Amino acid sequence: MTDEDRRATTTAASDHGLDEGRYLYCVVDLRGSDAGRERDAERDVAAFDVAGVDDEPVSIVTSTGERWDSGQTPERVEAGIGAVVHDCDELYDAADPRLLKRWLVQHQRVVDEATAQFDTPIPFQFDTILRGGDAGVGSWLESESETLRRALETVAGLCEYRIVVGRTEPIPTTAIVTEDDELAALESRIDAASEGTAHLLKKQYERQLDSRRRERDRQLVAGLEERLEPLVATLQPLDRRPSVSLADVSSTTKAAGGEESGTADGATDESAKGDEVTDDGEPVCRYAILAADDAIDEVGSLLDSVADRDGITVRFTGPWPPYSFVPAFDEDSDEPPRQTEVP
Amino acid sequence: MTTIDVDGESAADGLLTLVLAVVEILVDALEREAIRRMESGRLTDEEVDRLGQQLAAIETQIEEIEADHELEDDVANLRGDLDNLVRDAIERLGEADGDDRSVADQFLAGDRP
Repeated sequence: MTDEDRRATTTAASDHGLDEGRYLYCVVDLRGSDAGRERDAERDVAAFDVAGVDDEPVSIVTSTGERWDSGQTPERVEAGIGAVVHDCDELYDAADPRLLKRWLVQHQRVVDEATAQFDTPIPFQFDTILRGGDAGVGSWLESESETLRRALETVAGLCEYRIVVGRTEPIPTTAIVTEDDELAALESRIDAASEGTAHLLKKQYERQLDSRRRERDRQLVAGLEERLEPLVATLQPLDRRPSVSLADVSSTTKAAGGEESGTADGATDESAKGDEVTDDGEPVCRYAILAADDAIDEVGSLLDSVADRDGITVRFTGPWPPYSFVPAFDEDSDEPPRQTEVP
Repeated sequence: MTTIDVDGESAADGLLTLVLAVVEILVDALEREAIRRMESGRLTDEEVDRLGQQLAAIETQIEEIEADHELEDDVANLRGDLDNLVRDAIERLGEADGDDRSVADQFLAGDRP
């Protein structure tokens, strides 16, 4: 079969199933180091034993064509990085939300287990499937090896946490006016003005009050960023509102995966879950941070001090796999982050 | 996502909500301009007062219509959604320009960015 034929066949099959699909959970660093000590890759691979989505057996595939199934002990691990996958022939798409939830938890469990065994991996969204069998996975790992290696170095020893700061109560007017001459002057002009003029002055007063409130929130955000930055490895501001929330999730996997790719703000369902701001008032700011375990207490107490302010709520969730720090992959390469074409 | 129902019994309310939201936005813009002119000192006290009274009257009328049709919340929600839509769009523009989010705040605050 020529390449042309193969491409045609896979395209035709893509509506119904996948030819030699590999469901991708994450990419791990097989030869990383723990506190400067080189890890025993053979032992780690052997100890990695977990069931995948829909109880499928999970394997590790490398760019050098090695493949170890769950619990298998390799004689020798040559490759530096490996993809955690299972063989599949179709997308995971369920109308039943309970089944979908089960799959998501199973997906998460594999990523968690990989984290425990190989340090922080590059996680991929639910239902990311590579085509072309082990060879397809291998050549993708090969072509993206530099990006993946750099990303693995960035996240090594760190976890993602999400911070959402919201305002449930506006800053009280008196708190602003007492220390603001301009607003105080407007107040006395309103008292002295005729009816129509007073109306305009009141509007002006309200506008200025709003702008002072916004200014105070900006200062709050700037102060928080300034104090957070030295504590964390990476601080990434996110859109004030999540692009995907559980409220948007219908019963299909498509909705669950969201429309975004596995890059930048591509939060998966697990991490979006902690992010909803429905009861937390107006969002003031949101961050994804990469931080080490030992920094988290200090981040927590910093956030406590922010949450102590009147009318402010802070939601601090994690640790998550670093979904917000998955690199952007070359669009022209064989692997757009979701379902991919044959190379 | 806000859906305006133009089919069925609530069609009239949906359309009225949209119209009221648009009128409110217009009145906001007029107010902003009126305040600017008032502060510029180019209007006499009488002109400022007349302008203020007219705007106050329009505002009262809008409030009455909203109250009669129990549409206060719907109009507020629609305007909130529109604000967020615009804010997000401007933030994205700002990010693309390598600028910060304050552009959006300035714009929504009525300052000239």
